[in-house]
Amino acid sequence: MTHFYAWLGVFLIVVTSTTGDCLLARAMKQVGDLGALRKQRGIAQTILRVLRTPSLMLGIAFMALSFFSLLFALSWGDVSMVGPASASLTFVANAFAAKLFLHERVDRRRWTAAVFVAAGVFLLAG
Amino acid sequence: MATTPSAAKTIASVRVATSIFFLLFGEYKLVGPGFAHGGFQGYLHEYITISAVTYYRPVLSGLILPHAVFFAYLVGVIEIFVGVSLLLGLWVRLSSVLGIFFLLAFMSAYLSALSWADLTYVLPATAFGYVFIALIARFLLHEHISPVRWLGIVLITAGVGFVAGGPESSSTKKTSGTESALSTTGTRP
Repeated sequence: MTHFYAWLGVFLIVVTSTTGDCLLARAMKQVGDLGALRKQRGIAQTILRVLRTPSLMLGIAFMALSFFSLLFALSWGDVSMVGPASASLTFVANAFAAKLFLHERVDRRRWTAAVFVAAGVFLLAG
Repeated sequence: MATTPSAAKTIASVRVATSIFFLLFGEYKLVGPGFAHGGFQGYLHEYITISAVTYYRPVLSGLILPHAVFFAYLVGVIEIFVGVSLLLGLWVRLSSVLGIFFLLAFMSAYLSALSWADLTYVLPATAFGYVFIALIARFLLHEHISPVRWLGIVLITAGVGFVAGGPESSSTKKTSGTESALSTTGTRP
């Protein structure tokens, strides 16, 4: 049963952090290139523009949720299982989510990268 | 905060380990003359021209680079400070403010990368941090890295190589920032 709770924790971490990352990416795509924006409007206006984007705040909220899910998962399972599993699954989940919701062109090169990095993080963190 | 004895022991050992880490880095920066006089400046110069995100360049070249020696010592002093405060439990509130500052720096760098590149490009690329931490542990702290972990490092590096070889954004519209980033990093293999 504890095994089930640990995997539930991992699932929660992966879902919340993927949602958070996608929201942040969407917010920054709405704002556009920050380097170009700073050249036109100056740094203060750029920061204001970023902070006023609604999906940014929502994204940060989901990042916070993912952090708390990590705390829960660590209390339900071992660090050696929760850490690598959640970190590496997040990379793969993000590739799916970016293709589905952000309509990014995820070609074979990027799939390979996501799988390689996920495997590498799993080995390195385990 | 009510914690079990084993949890308290774990927290204490993590805290001492982290503080030693900070002290080592601070000592390296302050005691040896190589870092503050020339080393930091050269590193910064390379970073600005090759890999810094566009958003950071004006701050680095306009503010930090002209006073490189001062900032090199400042970073060393801050690291020693954080190390001592972690070790002795002093000035914890001030240290957490510094932590927030580093977190903000990470967020602004991450967000500005997302503003011109795809999420599926940025995320694998930032995974390089895992490799950095492992290499720092190996060469500065002289920790042993098992063959399985070396394989992990190789896999992450290969993965980062895969995305870095491709286009960084799905949208065909290129802005000035994207172009400069492309030309300076030379992403084409």
